[in-house]
Amino acid sequence: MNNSNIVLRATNLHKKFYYPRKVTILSGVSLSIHAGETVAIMGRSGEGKSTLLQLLGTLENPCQGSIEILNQPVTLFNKSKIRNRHIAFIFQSFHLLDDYTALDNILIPAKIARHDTGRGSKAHKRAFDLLEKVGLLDRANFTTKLLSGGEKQRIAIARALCNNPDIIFADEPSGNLDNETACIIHRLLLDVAEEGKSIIMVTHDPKLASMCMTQYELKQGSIHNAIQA
Amino acid sequence: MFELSVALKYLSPRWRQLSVSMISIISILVIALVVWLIVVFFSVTHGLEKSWIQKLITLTAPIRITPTEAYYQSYYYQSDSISSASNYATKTIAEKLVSPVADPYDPEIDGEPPSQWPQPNKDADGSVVDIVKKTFNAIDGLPSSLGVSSSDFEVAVANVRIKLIREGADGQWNQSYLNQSAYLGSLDPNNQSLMQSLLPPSEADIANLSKGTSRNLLVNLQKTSEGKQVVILPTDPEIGEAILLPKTFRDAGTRLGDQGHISYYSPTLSAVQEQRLPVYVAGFYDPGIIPIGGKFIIVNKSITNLIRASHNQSEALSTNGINIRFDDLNNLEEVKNSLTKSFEQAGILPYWDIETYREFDFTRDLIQQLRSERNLWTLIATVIIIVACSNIISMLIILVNDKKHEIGILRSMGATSASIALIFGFCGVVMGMLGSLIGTLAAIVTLRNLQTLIDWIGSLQGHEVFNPVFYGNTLPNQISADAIAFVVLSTAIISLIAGIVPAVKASMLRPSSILRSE
Repeated sequence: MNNSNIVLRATNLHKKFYYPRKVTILSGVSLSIHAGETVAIMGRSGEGKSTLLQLLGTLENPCQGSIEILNQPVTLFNKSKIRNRHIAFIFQSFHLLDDYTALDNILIPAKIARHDTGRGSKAHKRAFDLLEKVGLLDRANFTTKLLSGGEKQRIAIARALCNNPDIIFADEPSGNLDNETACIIHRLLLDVAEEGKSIIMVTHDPKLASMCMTQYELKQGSIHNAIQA
Repeated sequence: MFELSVALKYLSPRWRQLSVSMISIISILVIALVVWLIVVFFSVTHGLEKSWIQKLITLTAPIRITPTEAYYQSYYYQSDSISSASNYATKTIAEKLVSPVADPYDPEIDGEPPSQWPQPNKDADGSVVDIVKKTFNAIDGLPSSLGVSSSDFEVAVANVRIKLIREGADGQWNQSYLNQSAYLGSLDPNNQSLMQSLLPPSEADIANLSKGTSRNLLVNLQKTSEGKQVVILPTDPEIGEAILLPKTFRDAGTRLGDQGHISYYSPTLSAVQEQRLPVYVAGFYDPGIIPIGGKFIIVNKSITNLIRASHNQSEALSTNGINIRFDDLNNLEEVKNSLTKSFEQAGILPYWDIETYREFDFTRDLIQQLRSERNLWTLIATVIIIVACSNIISMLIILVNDKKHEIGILRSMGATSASIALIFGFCGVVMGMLGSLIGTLAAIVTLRNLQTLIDWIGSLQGHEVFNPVFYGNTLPNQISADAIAFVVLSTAIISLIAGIVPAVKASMLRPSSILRSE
């Protein structure tokens, strides 16, 4: 792959937790992700997959090492902006706002970015396009607590795409879903990747991992094995 | 605004967050209760203070100009005492105003002045400066927007003796006397405050009048040809001069139409003799809470002039001056400053003391007391608001714990720490403002029905809630804009401060730890 289209570069990441006792989670992880690349991070439970995802997604600070997103070093001061404009998350337990409708949930990243989200605005139209894309146009005004797990995850995918990010982090996106629904979610994610967005996902599902261009296996705090499709 | 919309969402009552909703409602109601109490209390006290000040200036004016020692020692004032044209007697301000010449002394007719005689203050054309006329010209030259009017006043001291003839229970007529040393103040017919302080005749007054005194001889308000209302104290050559008494005289048994005399002492060549001037009671007025109010009798200027003329000039100091009245009491300092500037430009400032009602000898203590009380109550009100708003802190801490999950989600989508802090800051301010709004509306309703409420409480306890001597017959019920501004601002600021701790706590939550624990 061409080095010029690297969207995320992590160098020598270390992470330790000190409470309730000192545990080393990651030690010297380095990787690069290219535009449009799909990456699966695999490994046994407790190997630090989610921690690595949170470090790469700027939700957690590394004890050592650096991360660059779109050639910009991640600092304390630009983290929020990067999270809002360039990256997005899809979580295993969806993490939607229960008191909001599906449409409002999708629009939240745009509201945080101070975009106009009123009726007829660009963001509003995009939210409806995304609802259509995930097949939930008829659920636009449903509060999310009324939706099924699969529907919630599709809304979460639509929300992740709201601000048209460059990288999407997915933490076991189909972990709480049945096989049939999981397949729908996988298809949606791969469709998104085909639009040129990079997707980094943590998964235990070998089938989903096999659909990705790159697979990293974490073992004892570092990348044990990297498989390029 | 995104943060405000989230804050409003958090504050909307929901069954699912019943405890948070209940605590928010209670916090808002406590703030509303405190705001209601403060607005009602401050509106009533503000109204009372206004009415006391209004009554205070019934006897004087918002601004009083009195001659200084420099005036009394000036050639302009002293020259009358050695001039035959002035009958060798010094003049009052009113007499100086109508005097055709500023310097009546004629070296051809009048004797040599004493050796230590003041030098005349002269104009550019060499004539003696006419201080009084120049003063009134300077007052008339003030901007018309201030609505300033002026009139001279005179105060004299005398004894009043009123004869009280009353029918006893046995049908016999009893006679007694009411004696009082009193201040006699000259009537200013244009005194609007006095017009508002006149008391209507009581039934006992009307019964007393039926014994002979005509109602036409009572104090009355008349319209001038210019359409202005003026107070008139009539005079009856048979009965005597009309006097206007403070209401304490009525409380002591005096009635309209009662007759008596004013006595004062006048030095003659051989001795000091008592002079008597027949008078009758033509009306009563409410002097308010002014300390000398109970002894302040209003008479026509001819009487004060007569009594002052019989005194030595040294005793007459500070009892003659100029009252300055204007429409809006809020312009007090502006009018005083304009007068000072104008007098300074005319070169007559050394001859006058310009005092506002806050500086008068007989009101200074009272005004300071009112101010101290207001400051004390403001301090107490602030403490009460702080206590009420402190509920917000505990409520917001519970809310932050309740909304941890959502904070984590918002942070993962790029909301900054400041944005999260702002959401909870808004929650505090919105609660404070909502409490203020409810409290203010309740206060407006209460003030509109204040008298009914007070009458009801009075009927429950069997006596009047507020003594009319101090508070008047009805309590003021005008809502005070100052009180509303104070509570709204202080509640907003204190609520914001109360929201800071929970807001900072919320902003410091790490999204990774929140989302990991879910």
